[in-house]
Amino acid sequence: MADSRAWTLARLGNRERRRRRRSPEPASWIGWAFIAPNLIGFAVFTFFPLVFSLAISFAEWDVISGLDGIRWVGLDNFRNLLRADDFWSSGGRTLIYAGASVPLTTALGMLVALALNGPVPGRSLLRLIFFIPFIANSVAIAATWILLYDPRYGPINRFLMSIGIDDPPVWLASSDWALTALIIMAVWSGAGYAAVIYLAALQDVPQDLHEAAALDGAGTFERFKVVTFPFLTPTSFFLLVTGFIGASQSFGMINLMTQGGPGEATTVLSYYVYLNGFRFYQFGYASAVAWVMFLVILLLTMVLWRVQRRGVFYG
Amino acid sequence: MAEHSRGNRRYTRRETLGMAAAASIAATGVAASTTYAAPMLNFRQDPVTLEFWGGEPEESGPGALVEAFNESHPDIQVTYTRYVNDDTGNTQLDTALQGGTPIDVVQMYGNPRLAQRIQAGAVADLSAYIEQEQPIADWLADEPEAAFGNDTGTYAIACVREPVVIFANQTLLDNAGVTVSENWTTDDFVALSAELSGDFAYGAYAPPDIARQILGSNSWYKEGATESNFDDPAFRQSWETHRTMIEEGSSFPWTDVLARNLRVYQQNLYLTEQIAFWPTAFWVMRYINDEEEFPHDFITTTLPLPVPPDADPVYNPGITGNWITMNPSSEKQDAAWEFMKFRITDGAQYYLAAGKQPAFPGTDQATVAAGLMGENPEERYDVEAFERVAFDPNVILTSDTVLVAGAEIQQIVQQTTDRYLIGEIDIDQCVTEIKTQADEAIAAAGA
Repeated sequence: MADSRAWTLARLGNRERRRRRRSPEPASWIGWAFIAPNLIGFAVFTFFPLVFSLAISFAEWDVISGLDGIRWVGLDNFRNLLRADDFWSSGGRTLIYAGASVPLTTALGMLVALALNGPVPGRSLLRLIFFIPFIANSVAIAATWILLYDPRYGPINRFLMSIGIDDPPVWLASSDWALTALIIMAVWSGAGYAAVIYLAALQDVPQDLHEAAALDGAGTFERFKVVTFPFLTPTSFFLLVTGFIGASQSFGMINLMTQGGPGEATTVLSYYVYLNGFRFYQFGYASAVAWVMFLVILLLTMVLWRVQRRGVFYG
Repeated sequence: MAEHSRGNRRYTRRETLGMAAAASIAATGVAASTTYAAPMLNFRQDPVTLEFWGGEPEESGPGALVEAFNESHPDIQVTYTRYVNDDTGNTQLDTALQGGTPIDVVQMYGNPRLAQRIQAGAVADLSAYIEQEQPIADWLADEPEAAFGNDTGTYAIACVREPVVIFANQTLLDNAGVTVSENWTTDDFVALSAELSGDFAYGAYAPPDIARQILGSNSWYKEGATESNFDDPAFRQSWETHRTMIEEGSSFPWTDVLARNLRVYQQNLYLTEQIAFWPTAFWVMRYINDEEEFPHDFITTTLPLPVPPDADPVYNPGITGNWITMNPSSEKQDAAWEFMKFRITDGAQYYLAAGKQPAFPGTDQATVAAGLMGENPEERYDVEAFERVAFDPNVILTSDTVLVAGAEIQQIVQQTTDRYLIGEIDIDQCVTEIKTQADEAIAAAGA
């Protein structure tokens, strides 16, 4: 009996082996074929440019001279950028811009989400209105804010003058105020996105904990502090990290509204990279700055990651 | 015998082979001196196709130019591609040139980039072609600023002449009872601007570039180009005049220019009657002529630039430019030159509506004036004043040939003068910062 079973199993095994020989597993090449378009796109448009930009960060290159014009200079670009005042001042502005706009955007987003999470009339419409700035065309946003910030005719300064501020800021035309003006705009345009993410997170806050806290006599603020806020910390962490990475690379609005000015007042690192690469044709130096920028962002993200282990509540 | 059917007739193998040979000769374009097939075939050579890249939208001249050329040259057919003449657009062009994109003729703007491209070997030497074309050779000998090159050859030819003039709102002048002499000075300009300023209008957008009027071409550099020239008193005079006018309320506030991004939208100020004097070049006439987009009911008069005191000779800060060039990698250089000749000479008229005055003197003055001013010019212009000023033969245009760290210095000058003009730094700080930083940029460029 046992022999016959062993014989049967052996036959089945042989049959399976024969079947595999006849029709090989399709998984490998068909799988590759399916992901090939995306993989090729990634290789051509992301991976190769990344490697190339890393390579030319050790070279002097002006594009016009073609690949023959690449002159290897070792670490010169990195040494030069560390000695350049412009690099450090642009880096400082980047930190101020990202350091101010991201926490403010996140905080405002949270407030909006909390306000819209309750039974507010026209809640869906309000959610849409808050989200529109995030998806609106950046040129339209820039044009609108240029009007809003107009020193003489803009509604912001008209309002400030109406409440007794006779000498309001000239916003985009002032070295002292231009970066602040861009931060305010960034907060306005990003808060809607943060609010939508927070609204989703608020649905996961257990209601029974709220009820228990209320029974224990906790007021609205106390319940927010001990129940809601801890449950929102993973979302806050996500928004802070992605927001910081995004804000550090901000370029479009600055290019549209101030072109890095007045003077260098709004020249953040991404605009500094653009100036050196696309205007001065120093692509090697610009790449070196971009890679240093990447390393700094990576480092800060790792610091945030380490900090979140203590402060983020995952339920 | 094997037979091959074709249509209703049947051909022998020999006949079939003969036709195949004839077809292959026709396909390769080889001239037929062979015996049997050639006389039966109607040879027709395909036209040479050229790729022409430029910065203007197709409807602003290139479209009509290409159409006219293609019609008059059936053996050469040109296709136009527009690149946007900004930082990223120029990088796109450079990448295309280096990447082997089949481009034959390129119109370029701005001397610094042109010089870089010549140095990198991305532009062909036109000397041999120019020598064979007497009218063009004679013109370039008379007006050397219309050619761009170096010791090794001539690489680019200007298609456009862009003198700076003052366009003025005649209605505002009349209302204020102001008469302007065409022999006016910078001091007159400042005084009249003050006179024309009111609650909602300013006398001028800005004064002309006084430093360049005094110093002419290559004004940024001292002899030898190892040092910048910004300590020359002409620069201080130029910037101080502008700041003084802003403080007096006779020149448009620079805070508004920066806050409203008006540097590139000056036409909005002029055509809404917020400024009376507008130092500018002819290319803005496309806005003055566009009554649908910029409706206005005043007459524009044209004035020569006011002369700075003690300036002799007096230069015009305007330029010759819109350089036509040939790609050295083009395999159709003779055809490309044929098209370039047309662009420089007869074809220049197609750009008149875009406000581009031909650099080559071949187009007659009446055609140029009519083309620049558009239909019914008397409704918008003091025609006589325009013709008198626009074609003044005594104007000396400039063209920079020393361009060490040109883009960097341009950025330094703009950033620093912006801060001076909005009152954040004083003139000493402005001059010192520009001089120091420009010298550093020149040194970094290895000059």
